[in-house]
Amino acid sequence: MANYFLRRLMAMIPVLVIISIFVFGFVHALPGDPARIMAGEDATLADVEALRQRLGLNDGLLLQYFTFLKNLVTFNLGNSLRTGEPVYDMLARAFMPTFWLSFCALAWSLVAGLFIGVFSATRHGKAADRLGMVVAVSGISMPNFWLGILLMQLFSLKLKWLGTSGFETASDLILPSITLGTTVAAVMARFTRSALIEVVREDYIRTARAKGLSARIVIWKHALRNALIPIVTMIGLQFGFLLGGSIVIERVFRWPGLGSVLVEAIYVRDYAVIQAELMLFSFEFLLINLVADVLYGFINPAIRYK
Amino acid sequence: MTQSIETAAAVADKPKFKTPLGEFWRRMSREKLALVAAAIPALMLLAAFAAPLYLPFGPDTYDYENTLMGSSLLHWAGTDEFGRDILARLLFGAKLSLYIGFVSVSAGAIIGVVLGLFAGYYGGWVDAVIMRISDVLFAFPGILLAIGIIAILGPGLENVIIAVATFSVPAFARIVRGGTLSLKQSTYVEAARAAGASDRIIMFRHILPGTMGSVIVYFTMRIGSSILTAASLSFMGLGVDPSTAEWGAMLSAGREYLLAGAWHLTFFPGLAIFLTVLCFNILGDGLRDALDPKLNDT
Repeated sequence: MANYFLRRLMAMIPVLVIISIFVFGFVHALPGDPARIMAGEDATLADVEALRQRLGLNDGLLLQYFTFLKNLVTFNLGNSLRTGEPVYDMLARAFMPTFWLSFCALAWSLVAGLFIGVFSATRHGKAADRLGMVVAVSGISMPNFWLGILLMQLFSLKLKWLGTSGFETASDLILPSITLGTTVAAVMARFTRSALIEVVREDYIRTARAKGLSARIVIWKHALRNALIPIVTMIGLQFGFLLGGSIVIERVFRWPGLGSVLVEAIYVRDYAVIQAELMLFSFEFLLINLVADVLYGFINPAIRYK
Repeated sequence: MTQSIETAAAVADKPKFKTPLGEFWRRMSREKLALVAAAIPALMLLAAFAAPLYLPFGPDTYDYENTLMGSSLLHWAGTDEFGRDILARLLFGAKLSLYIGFVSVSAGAIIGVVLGLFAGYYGGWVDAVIMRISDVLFAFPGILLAIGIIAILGPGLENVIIAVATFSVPAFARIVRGGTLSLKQSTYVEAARAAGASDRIIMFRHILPGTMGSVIVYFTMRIGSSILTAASLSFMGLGVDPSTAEWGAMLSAGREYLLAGAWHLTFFPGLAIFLTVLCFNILGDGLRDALDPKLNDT
């Protein structure tokens, strides 16, 4: 198992290298002089030359790329071109708010998605099933930034139960995580339903029923266990969705997370921050997929990693 | 046995020859909800193009005497902070959102379909290179990829279309490759090859139509998610110019007036995005049921 994990971890490296080439390349692919662009509009010629020297832009492209890689691996991410603050510090500060937001969103949406999915599948073809699926397709179609604004209007502005923005107390997590998790809950509900409907047709489910086991045991213990296998893969993908979705939701709630840092860096073309963030998001995403793959083995004894 | 007799009777009742298109219509006509869902965006477009006939305002008609007004007989959806008619802006936004959705998914579909055809048909290193790249792209959540592309290219309408198109490519490539792999083995393709048809003719005339069912289903679903992604980008200020009458941009600008109680500035654009995306998702589900015989049995 540990061996398999390690091997998969190694397999991430070529993908990360491809991504790093893109992320490194884009500053160089931009029309014009990278130092000129990175120094900003009101930099003097001397500033640009100093920056060019500091960034090693006078070196060969290949050497520059290897310096970029070395800096990434040693977490030497450089300084923000706007504020001069070390990029590492900026990301470290923003990491936990985004982590808590994604974690809470994933937790509630998985539970809700599984329940709605099982609810619909066990009432397959009935009105209750159709209702569950109407709710799910609406959840998928809902622009989550709009949902966030609606929730904010009701709970923060009208009822004044919760704050509108920022992350100071744990209760500030409630609205953003509801907003962020809605799409995932809806996707999970649809997916759980179809996975379960497939499984319920299998012979061993009929056997379990014939043995006289209660419907509850048959569904939750026998059927769901097998339906979980595709569902776990889906969770990995959905965590990735949360990662992207959190960028949008952080804008709605002015959340001091990685998404806000990235979007603000894009506004002011702070390339040091953009490069570091793109690498971080890619790495996180690949890692999550890996963990989802490994979880597979725990759930399905039929798959054993050698 | 009884079943085959019934089938024979049914055929006798309907001597008409079944064309694929006819069969599709027969199935599709059972998907009532999907037909309604198809009609709504079409009606929106009609209303948008006919707007000058019944609305006295354009999307950029300023009226500083009547800012932030609620619904009235004159302004059905109220006015924004510059006194612009929200309904007129919503209708303009409908054209823009559907344009972005349609163009970006079409571009992604054309590139993806061609790549998928080549990968599936030629196999070998062509397949390996195309599919590895698309695996890497596919691995990323759409909005993250789109934001990454905007981070590199900068905001703007064309870049939004490029960003949204890019994340559609790998999925189309994958679908078409799968279809091509199985159709390539079929007898009629073998017959075409024996008759001396060129690779190009076999790929585009014989194999491509066979993969169209799943492409159409995916195309429809993708339009919904592309409209949503484009609106999200604009909402974050990474999409079209913020002053454009685009739904995401309108929502973003309207947030500033929530405290002032002007809820309609954000409510109507949000509702428009929701309804449009919902329609394409329902239509996609209906098309899938009508075009995919395997699912049709359930």
